[in-house]
Amino acid sequence: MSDHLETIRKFGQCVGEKNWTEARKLVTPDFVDHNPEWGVSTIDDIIRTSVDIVDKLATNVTMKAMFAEGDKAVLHLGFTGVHRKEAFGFAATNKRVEWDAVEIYRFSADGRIAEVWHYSRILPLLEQLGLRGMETHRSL
Amino acid sequence: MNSPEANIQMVQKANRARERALAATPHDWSEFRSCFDPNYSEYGAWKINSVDDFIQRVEEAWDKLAMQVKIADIFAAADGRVVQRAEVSGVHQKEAFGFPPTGKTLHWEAVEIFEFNSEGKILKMRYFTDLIQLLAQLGFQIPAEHTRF
Repeated sequence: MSDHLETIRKFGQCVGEKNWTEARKLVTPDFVDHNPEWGVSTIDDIIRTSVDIVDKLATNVTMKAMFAEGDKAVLHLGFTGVHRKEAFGFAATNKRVEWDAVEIYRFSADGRIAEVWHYSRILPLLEQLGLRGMETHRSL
Repeated sequence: MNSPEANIQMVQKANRARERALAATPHDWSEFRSCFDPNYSEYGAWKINSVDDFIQRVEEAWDKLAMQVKIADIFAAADGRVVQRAEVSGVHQKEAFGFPPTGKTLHWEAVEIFEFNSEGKILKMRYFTDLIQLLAQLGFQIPAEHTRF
């Protein structure tokens, strides 16, 4: 496993264990997460959201693909969960939910995570949670 | 396996061929088609199972949204897969996604992950885009309480 993928693995482990001190050491001081859908842009946002997402959606993550090259790394993540608490304004349904996402990481010269671009398929997730009215807006 | 550099060049060739096809009247997709395996398929927001489906989607996006694509980043993994991050803009000039034209300028982003056949042609693509942000720009009203996790 490349150093960058190992750093991502450690970061995920720290987040899973709520070891925020170690998680912060793995990102640069000017770290930016480009993830407006989830309201995430800082490491503090990641901490808040990662706690919320497990609490509300009982999330499990599966790595569908990952690779690194140069100062970049890419993850394709699959998420499954249970809608056990209010999420995105939708009251709990206890239904199973699933979605996937791609994340592109950029690393600083010293090997820390400097930037992440996150793209979730959030619309299907919102529909699973209860969003209605999409029937006539699915096709271009 | 083809070299990562060769695979990047194939994606860049497809990008250029798409721009040339759209600029021509009538649109000539022969060069674009030559970049793809006959069994091309896509995993993404759209139901695209062939190059013909892909071309039809691009034609629609061009016609309805005057789509312009700017490649913000492109790189390849050691195993040959190519990742492309695109910043897309357009104008809502015709009915799209069920919304009548507004004339508004639109912006969205997409990530594409390409895989290749043994001849270096594009075989598969995983496509991720912020569809809900695009629909919101077109006119889909998401209740405010459902816009924050």
